[in-house]
Amino acid sequence: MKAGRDGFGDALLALGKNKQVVALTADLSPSVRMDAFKKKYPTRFFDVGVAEQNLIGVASGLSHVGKIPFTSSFGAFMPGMCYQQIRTTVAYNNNNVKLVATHCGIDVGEDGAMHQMLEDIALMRVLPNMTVVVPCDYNQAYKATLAMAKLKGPCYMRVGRSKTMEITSKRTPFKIGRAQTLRKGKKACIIASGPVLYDALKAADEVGNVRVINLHTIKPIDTRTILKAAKECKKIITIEDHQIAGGMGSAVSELVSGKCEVVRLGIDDEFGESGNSQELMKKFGLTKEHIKKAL
Amino acid sequence: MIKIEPSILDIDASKLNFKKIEKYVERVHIDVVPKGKYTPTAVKRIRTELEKDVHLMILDVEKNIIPYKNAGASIINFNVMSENVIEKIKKIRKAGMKVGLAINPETHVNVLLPFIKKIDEVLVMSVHPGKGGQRFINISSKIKKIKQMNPDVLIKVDGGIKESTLRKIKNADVAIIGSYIFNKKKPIEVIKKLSLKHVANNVRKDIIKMINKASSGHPGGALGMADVFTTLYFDELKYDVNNVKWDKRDYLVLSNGHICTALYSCLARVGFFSRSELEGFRKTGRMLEGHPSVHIPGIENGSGPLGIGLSQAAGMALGSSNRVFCVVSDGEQDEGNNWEAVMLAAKYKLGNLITIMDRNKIQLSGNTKEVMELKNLKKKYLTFGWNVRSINGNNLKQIKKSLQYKGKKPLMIIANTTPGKGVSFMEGKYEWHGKAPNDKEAMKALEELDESR
Ligand SMILES: [Mg+2]
Repeated sequence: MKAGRDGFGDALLALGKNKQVVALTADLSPSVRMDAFKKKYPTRFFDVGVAEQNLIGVASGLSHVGKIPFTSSFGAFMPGMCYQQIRTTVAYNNNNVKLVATHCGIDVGEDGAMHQMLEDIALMRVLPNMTVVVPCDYNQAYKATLAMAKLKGPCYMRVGRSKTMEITSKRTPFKIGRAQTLRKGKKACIIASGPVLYDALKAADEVGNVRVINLHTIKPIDTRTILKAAKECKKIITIEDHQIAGGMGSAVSELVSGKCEVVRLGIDDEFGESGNSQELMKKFGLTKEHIKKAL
Repeated sequence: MIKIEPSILDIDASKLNFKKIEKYVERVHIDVVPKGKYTPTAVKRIRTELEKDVHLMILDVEKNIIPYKNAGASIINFNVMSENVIEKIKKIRKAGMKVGLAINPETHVNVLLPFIKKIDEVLVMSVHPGKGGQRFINISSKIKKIKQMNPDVLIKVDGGIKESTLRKIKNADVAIIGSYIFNKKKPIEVIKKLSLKHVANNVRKDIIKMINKASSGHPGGALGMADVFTTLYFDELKYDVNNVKWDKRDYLVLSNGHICTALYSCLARVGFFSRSELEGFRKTGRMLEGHPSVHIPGIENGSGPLGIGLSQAAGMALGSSNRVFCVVSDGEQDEGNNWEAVMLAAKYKLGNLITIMDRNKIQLSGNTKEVMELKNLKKKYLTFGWNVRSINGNNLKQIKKSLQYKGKKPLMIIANTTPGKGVSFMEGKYEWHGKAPNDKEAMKALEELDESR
């Protein structure tokens, strides 16, 4: 088991070879896994202090003069504390800034509701110009980081805190905007974003004839793959560690509205709470058993 | 406001960069003397959008009216002491040009009386006509008397004028200057220097017109900062209007984006885009957004939500060695984001970051003192590790001087300005922060700006 944030940190270190790549954080470099980059490339690492609004504005300025800035903080603080800065200086200006939020979802666990960011995808996917990526594991977070560096324009990536099951391997292909169909089937289709994909796969294997799509890019959404599933499968079940309102399930529903039944699993209009993350997953309905019930 | 009109005496006009001169002035003065170089053909050869103001110092004025009309003249001047003055005036008018009567230093103003209501302009000679480089003769009392005879007539003064004599003729409308400009190594620099005040006044007029036409916008701060923007764009910033992404350029971020009319006017006047775009300010489908947008040539970054611009400017200064200028307001000192950026700029010793604060003591809903008292801003910035300069932000010389900076710390220039500057009923009033003048108010404002001395 490995954490998505480690995938980001390791990839960032690898990206350091490119002299245009710079990294910024707001007093969280160990937690967001920027320490290795900071140690190896001290002149290209900037700590702005506990100041997320400034984090975004400065990154936007750096990108304007040709740098490729990666900013990282906890989801509760970025985008949680700097939405206007992201909207104006990054999205509206179409600046080449890569935002990486760690510690998202109830997966955060013990820190509780305050830090369990459950609204970030809703906030980010409605911004014009913004690409939104939610990798499912360490390897995918690593690849998504490299892919974002290559893509010109604003990107947001969401990763969790915990070590989670490894689903993809080093050889699994990854392309921003192209969903992965990991199981074939027609009885139903489970669309998952993030580490909950693991439970989706287990549920599908136990039930049989269930398609599973890893929707790692929420924007731009893979219209073809999803419309195909809506046509060929009797129903779609979406699952994510995020509010049902406005999240990936909403994005899928917007696309297949009127074409297919959609059951959305996620956090249902409430805040999280402190606790062990595995137990919270059970409490908030994000496990294999809940998916099977929805099937 | 006295306008500068360069007089191209006996210099080689083909060597002049009229495109540049057009940024600062509206007219060019051409003296036609017997056997001189400015024959109608030579005048026609001067390619410029400037109005050609032709002074015929030759005997057969009447015969030459049409040839000079065909050479592109907009105004014809001739001596009031010549014969058949009325016939000449009629003929010039019939040809569709404006008429100016020239009066020599020794001639009494009363000779103008019979014609003063029939002409557009008076050309008051402050040297004896003929050759350049003579000493200025003080004719200020003449200007006063002509104004009394006809307040609508445009008064031009020609002869021996230099920067130091300008104040002696401040009641005139136009100063025609030849030797003082063209005997210098860089004549365009002299034109620029003499015209900056006039340019700033034109920027103010643009601001009023744009906001009036849009029926919305923010005149107060924009008028107050017209001198700062004029100095920046006409006298300080490095840029290339034909290559907006030139990598050696100075960056400018306007954080308080709502005063963008001052910026747009300057961008248009220096040639980033056509001045006709100004008419489309805030209109559907047009380029000039209500707040700066990155789609506009010359604009680095969109801005408007307050307190954010300094972060962006600091990022630019952090990532490049170019100079970065940031314009902020005093009202936005309320924003926490601003102070986050202030600390970062000090931490990373951003000596290439020059920030100009519009200290106009007003904000949207009241005086800064009442909405959120800012106390001693100079002390605050010094404590935060910046260098600070405090200036009169409506004084072109002080502005220019304050922008000259080489240091290891970021620089804050506190520009004390008068909001609504130049328009009496707007000056100092927070109510004009974000209110558009109606047609009547706009007309009054434009009149005041025209007449300001
Ligand atoms: Mg103010």
